[in-house]
Amino acid sequence: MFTIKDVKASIDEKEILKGISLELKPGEVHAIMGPNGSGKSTLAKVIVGHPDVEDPEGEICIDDKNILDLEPDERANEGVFLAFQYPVDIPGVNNAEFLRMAYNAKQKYHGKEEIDPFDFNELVKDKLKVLKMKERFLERPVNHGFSGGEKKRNEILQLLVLDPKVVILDETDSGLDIDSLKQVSEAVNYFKSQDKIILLITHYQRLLNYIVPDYVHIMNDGKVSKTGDKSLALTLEEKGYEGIES
Amino acid sequence: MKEESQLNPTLSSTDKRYNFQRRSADLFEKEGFPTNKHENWLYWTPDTFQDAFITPQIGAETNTESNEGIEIDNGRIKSEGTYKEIIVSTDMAAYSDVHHITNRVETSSLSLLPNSFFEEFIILDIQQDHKDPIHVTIKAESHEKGSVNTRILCLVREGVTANVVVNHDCIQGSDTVTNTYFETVCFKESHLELNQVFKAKQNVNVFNSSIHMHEKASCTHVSYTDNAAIMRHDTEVNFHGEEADLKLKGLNILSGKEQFYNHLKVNHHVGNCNCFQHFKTILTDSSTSEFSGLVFVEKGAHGTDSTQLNQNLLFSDSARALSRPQLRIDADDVLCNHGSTVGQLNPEEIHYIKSRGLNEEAAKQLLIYGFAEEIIENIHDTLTRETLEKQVKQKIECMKND
Ligand SMILES: Nc1ncnc2c1ncn2[C@@H]1O[C@H](COP(=O)(O)OP(=O)(O)OP(=O)(O)O)[C@@H](O)[C@H]1O
Ligand SMILES: [Mg+2]
Repeated sequence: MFTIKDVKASIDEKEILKGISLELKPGEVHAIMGPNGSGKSTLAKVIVGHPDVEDPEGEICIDDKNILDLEPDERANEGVFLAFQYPVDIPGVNNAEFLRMAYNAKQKYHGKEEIDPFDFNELVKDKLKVLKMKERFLERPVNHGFSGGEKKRNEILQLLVLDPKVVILDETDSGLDIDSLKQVSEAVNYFKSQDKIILLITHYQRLLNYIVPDYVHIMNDGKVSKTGDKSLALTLEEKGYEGIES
Repeated sequence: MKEESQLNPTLSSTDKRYNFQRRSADLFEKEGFPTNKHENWLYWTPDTFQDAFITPQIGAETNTESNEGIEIDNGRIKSEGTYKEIIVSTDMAAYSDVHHITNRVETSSLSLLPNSFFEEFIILDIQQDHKDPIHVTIKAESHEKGSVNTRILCLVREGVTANVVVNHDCIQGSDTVTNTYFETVCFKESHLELNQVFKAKQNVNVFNSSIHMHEKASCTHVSYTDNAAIMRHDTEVNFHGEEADLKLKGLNILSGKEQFYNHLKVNHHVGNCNCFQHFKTILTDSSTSEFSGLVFVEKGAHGTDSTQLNQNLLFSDSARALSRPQLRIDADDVLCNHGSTVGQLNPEEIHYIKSRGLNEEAAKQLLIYGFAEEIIENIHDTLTRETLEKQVKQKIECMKND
């Protein structure tokens, strides 16, 4: 269970999130849609503990544990994963090496031994296959010189390797070609079947054809203004945000 | 001003050597020590070390064991190594055909001193391909007041592909300085990978480098500096033939009160050559670094592509990074870029790494390592690269962040 309870947050002394509450159960997919600037990415930032967000209020709990006061790395190791809207590139740091370090950080957090490099290699190769990514991606610096779509796919590779409990995808679909979109959707559906919790931020109904959400929330000016099922996204496509609010 | 050897071929080696040293000494006499009135000497001048610089340590012995490869101890050949593709010589007269023997680099009059004081004019003449690294150790070990002067000419003959790894090991007393002059000639269609690793314990180290690039020659030069109280590098590049390609890369990690002064002058005498300079410095405590690079594109050197990039990562309020990339272009159709950055780690990048489960300290170290790795990855020889990577990793782990 992942609960967001009355979360308020400001950036640069401006209140962006004005009280958000959501409840996500294992195996559920929730989609968040909303106009530009409504606070969707800010919600994602609050969940992962981005330093831009000043003293957020409320509670964010995985099962019964409030993670709002934890460091971003601790939250990650507790099982939160955000696929960033704009993944950062890290020149000079080898992608495979980075994945292994992240994997081992989680192992250590849970008091487990580091993975054998050979075993890890096998594990990553399996995940690459799922995404139909080429092995040469592993030898390149993290996201450096990757195309927009490649960066998004690399986020999903990290997701598959780190195997979190709660997955937030911030506009992962934008910038993906049709084939990539299908592969990424397959990966997400696999997670759904594993009883993970999935929060999708998107502007496009198209994604929801591949990943069928259990709930669709519309966010407006820092609040959830409407919640519905999959059909809400279709209505939205037809009427636009202004039409749906009236 | 510059001495291009037009030595009379009938002179004996001793005469040639004498003339060359005499002329270098005369020039130094005329010019004198640099002062902070010279634009290339604004932040450090050798004042208190002047005596040491002009007191060459003749015949000083080192007491270290030889390793494999070519070894040069206190300016003299100790071991010629066992590379059959290379002639190691001290016979200047045998090299009258090499027209680029210079006795100074433009940015530093101190560069005249090793050319006045050398005990041996050491020539490494690479005549055949040698793709595995040729190891050269240049040792300076002295505890007496004075200077250890080393003069090396490295020739990569036409069409030859070579990989040279030079380790500079300096162990000095508090009144000792090292002054090295390393000249590299890349002949037509040769390919050189040259890695220079500087390790010094304390004190003043001056390294002068003169690089000559001939038609269609290519060279990647990677330098790494570790641990020197004061390190001064002066590099002069001359493009003599078209379509030559030179990459100059450097990494320095400074701590304590270490100072690193890096001066370069790149002369594009002819067109259609590429030169890419990329120098990075990581500074902690109250260390100082200076980068000053001038790219000069002569009239007629069309189609030149010359880039300078200097990036500095600062980890302390009392550390200083001074950066002055400069261009002088007298030709058309030229592509020249220069840039410099001085900054700290990007919080967005730190956050990204943390959000994958690595803690703050690990995230920072990873980013610093990534910054350094962009230079080190240019070393193609796996063993050399991995050795350096390990060293840099250890160094970064020891760094106190914030
Ligand atoms: N670092 C920041 N500094 C100042 N304002 C910010 C910052 N980050 C976000 N904001 C502001 O917060 C508001 C919400 O931004 P957010 O990125 O959450 O929107 P969004 O719903 O994700 O929009 P989009 O659909 O365009 O991605 C916007 O008005 C934005 O300008
Ligand atoms: Mg957004």
